[in-house]
Amino acid sequence: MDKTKKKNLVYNLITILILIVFLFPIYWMVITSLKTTGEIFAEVPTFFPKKITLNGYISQLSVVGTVPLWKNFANSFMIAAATTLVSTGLATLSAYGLARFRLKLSKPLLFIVLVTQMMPTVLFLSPLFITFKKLGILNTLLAPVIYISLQSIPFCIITMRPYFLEIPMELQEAATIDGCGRFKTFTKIMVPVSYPGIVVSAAFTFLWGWGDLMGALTFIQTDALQPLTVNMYKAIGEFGIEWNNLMAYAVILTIPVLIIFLFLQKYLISGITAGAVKA
Amino acid sequence: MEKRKDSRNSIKEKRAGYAFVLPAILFLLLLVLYPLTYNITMSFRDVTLKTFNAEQEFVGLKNYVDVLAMPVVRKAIFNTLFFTVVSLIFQFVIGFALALLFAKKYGLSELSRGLLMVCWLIPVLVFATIWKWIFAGDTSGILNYILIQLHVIETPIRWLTTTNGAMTALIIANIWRGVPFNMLLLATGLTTLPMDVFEAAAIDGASKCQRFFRITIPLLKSTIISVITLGFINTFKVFDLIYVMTKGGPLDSTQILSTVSYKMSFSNFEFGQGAAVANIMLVLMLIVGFFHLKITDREGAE
Amino acid sequence: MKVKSKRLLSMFLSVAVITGLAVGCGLANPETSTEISQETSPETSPEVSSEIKTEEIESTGEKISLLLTYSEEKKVLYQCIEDFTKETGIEVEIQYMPLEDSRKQISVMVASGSLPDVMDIDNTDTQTYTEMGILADLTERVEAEIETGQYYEGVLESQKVDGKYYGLPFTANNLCLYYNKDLLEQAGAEVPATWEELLDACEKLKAAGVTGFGVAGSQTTDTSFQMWPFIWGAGADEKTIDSEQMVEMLNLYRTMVDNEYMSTEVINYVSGDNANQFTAGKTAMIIDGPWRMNAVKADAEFEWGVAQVPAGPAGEGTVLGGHNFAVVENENTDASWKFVKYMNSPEVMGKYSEAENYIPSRKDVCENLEYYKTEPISVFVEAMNTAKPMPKKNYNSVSDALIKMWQKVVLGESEPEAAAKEAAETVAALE
Repeated sequence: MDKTKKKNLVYNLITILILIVFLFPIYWMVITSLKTTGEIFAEVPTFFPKKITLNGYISQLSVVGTVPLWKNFANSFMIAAATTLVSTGLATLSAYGLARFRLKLSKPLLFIVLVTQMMPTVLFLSPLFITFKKLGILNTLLAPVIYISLQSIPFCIITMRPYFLEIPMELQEAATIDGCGRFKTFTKIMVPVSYPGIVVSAAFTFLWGWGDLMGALTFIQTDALQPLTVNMYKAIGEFGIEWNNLMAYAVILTIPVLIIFLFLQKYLISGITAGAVKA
Repeated sequence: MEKRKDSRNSIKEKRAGYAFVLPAILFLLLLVLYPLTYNITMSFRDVTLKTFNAEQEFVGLKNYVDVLAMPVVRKAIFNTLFFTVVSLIFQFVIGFALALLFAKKYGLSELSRGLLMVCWLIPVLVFATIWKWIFAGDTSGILNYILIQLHVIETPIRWLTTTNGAMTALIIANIWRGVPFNMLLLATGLTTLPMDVFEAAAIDGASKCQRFFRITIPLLKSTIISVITLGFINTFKVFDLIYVMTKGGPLDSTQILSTVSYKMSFSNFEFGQGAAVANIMLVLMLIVGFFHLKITDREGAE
Repeated sequence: MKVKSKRLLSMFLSVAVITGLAVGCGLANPETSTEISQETSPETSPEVSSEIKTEEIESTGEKISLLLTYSEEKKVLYQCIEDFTKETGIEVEIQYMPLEDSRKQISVMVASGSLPDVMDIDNTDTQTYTEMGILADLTERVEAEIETGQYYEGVLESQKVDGKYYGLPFTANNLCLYYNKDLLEQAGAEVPATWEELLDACEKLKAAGVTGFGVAGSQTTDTSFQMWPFIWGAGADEKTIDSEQMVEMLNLYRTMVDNEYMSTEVINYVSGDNANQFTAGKTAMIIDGPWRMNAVKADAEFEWGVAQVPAGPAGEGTVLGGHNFAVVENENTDASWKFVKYMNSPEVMGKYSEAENYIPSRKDVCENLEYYKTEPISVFVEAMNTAKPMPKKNYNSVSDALIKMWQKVVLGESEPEAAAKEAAETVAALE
């Protein structure tokens, strides 16, 4: 008994050390965002600000001119939410179809999905620009949404398919006997049962949409439609780096990620594992 | 793939199946097919800013021959593989070690498994910027400060201003991001292992080391393969990280295929060449992807 | 616990779905609160003007789009553009993009036929875009409507390709030496006027524990821009890259780095980063343009001044920088012309130039404004007399080669002679 206690103590200590190493960058982001410029460039760096200042945050609220920060925030949110909707919607149907129907083409189709997931879509930026221009959706939020979906749909399909595979056949048969149509079976039985898979896909897609830079940078020209990421990126390029401002921006970008993480932690963990291991 | 017994497999059933499957597939096909063919045709033509709106001469394989002769492209191919392989090795080894640790049941194991995942979730732009700041070379760079305080080094390392330093910095940042992902998948894999096999082996007198190499690894084989190939695909595709941290510099020392292709198209306006590099990258990617599918397919069939 | 997280989950999901729906519906047609609200119609011709929905427009019904490399932080500039709309009824839709990104964006826009009507471009890019055949020939209008005699010659020259005008000046500037008076005094150093004095001052500053000198050194045109005064100062130019003079210029930087007068960190700096080091009091002297004065004034907690770039063996001189308005050839050209002409009228030019610390492109504007006679901006005005425009042919590629040459020497990857030779070969291959 005593031995395991000692062992646990050692394990816990090691774990704390690991956590410090891995979480230090995030800590450093927060700390830098709260420092004054003078302290940031001080000869001896301080691990906790001597004087906490919110200037980094305040300047984010005032600098941006005619496009207020909340607007960029809203754009980021819209891009993320719409990507989530499009990807999870289409992918749930597809994953269900691939898992529950015996189709001759399901292997080649799954292959297509896997291959698209491997595509470095950043190389498609200029052809997609032309496509979007032709579709008339250039310089709208829809353009980055579609761009991100190219990556997130395959991911969602691969993540969700195992959940549908695991549903026992009897459940489906029972529903059919009860007189449910195929679509009704899908919405009333299948979706609720494979709920965790859908949540995971949705959460990841949301985070992708939230963090996307290249899509919005390339397809959106109007300031008023830019998400936070593009604004932060432009701030790096233009004035030279003001680290406290930049880190304040980074914190603002990270907060929603942490919120999602806190609420959905368990699902996220089980989700990526399911998709990756069983695909 | 497991066999399922569908009660009825009528034409109607199939139609319904396709109705579910096809919207997403069509979406992907339409939006990937055009860029793909566009890139392929462009790579066989002389496309620069000046010829963009004019007649574009068909030049056959010239773009491919040209780019493959460029030192920067050769360097990028090497860099891509180097960056990917080194990142993968470290991500995997550290990830595995952490997975083994966290698989034990003790106070912080569950919690820290989750916490580490934050590293993997934050936007690339954010973590690339943080790392750029941590690596800053003069006195304000915290990493140099810590290393000097710990007496690991004596003078600051010029992380982002030397060719080797920049590559190392990128790899470290990428490992930091990749470890949690590896750890999670492997940790979950570990929990599915049948305990009785280990107990039996322990009774037979197998040492910890033997048990690890003779039992754990073989049993985890499919998980390991998945983790490595997924890691490969994700690392191979990296773009934002490098774009934000070094832009391929200094002196092209951190150019990988994706950044070279982007630079050719968007900074040098050599669209034909940019497309050629993109296609070279796709081919390399598909080769790995093909092996991945082959292996997972076989694993699944077993 | 479990029930709770489930509830949170469904909350999250429903929020995502509901907002997603709300957003999704209005997504392709974003009703943004600013004046920008546009929709593209797929069947119309690929010109930019078709992107703009006509029902938005009041009064004259005209509207032009403008690609601008200055952000809304430059309030007076944006005010001037608003004034233009008030005066003429022509609406201006602004797309802001930093210079480096705007170059990328323009190439994609050319490919997709979605160029804006007017573009604020770096003066070195005029030739490239002209050769692409996208810019309108403004020669007739310029000669008929613009008092060309009032402009600085170099500024006007940078609008021309093969003797024809393809743009009008927007902002003009040049580079000078910013110095930290306090630090120089403490170190007992003079403000340097020549390369020797510069090295001497650096040596004294080093003894006082300060980094003496800094420039922009990253792989952006900031770097080549800041190299020109030194390239010319040595007596070299873009045609004599493989020359003793160029090697001499590279040796100057080599000395700077070897003696720790300049940090190798600069190779990650754009001019803004370099200026931050100056305002933080970490670098005593930097090369920068007049526009930086606003930031230095606001942030520097020390006495500072501006002087001419130290003269090299071939004499004193600086580089002429600035942005041009290029007008894209399309059916909006008339309205576009009205806009660029308005921005070139003496009052307007004076207004935004003074507020943002640019040198007015017209000499008379500069002479009539009191501000330009006061220090330190007067130093920049004086420098206009010796400021030379940069070469225009293949500028981005030439600049790339020069930066690489410079970085190799600064990082000690290459000897100056070898680096110069390699750059010369790269540039020769462009022909």
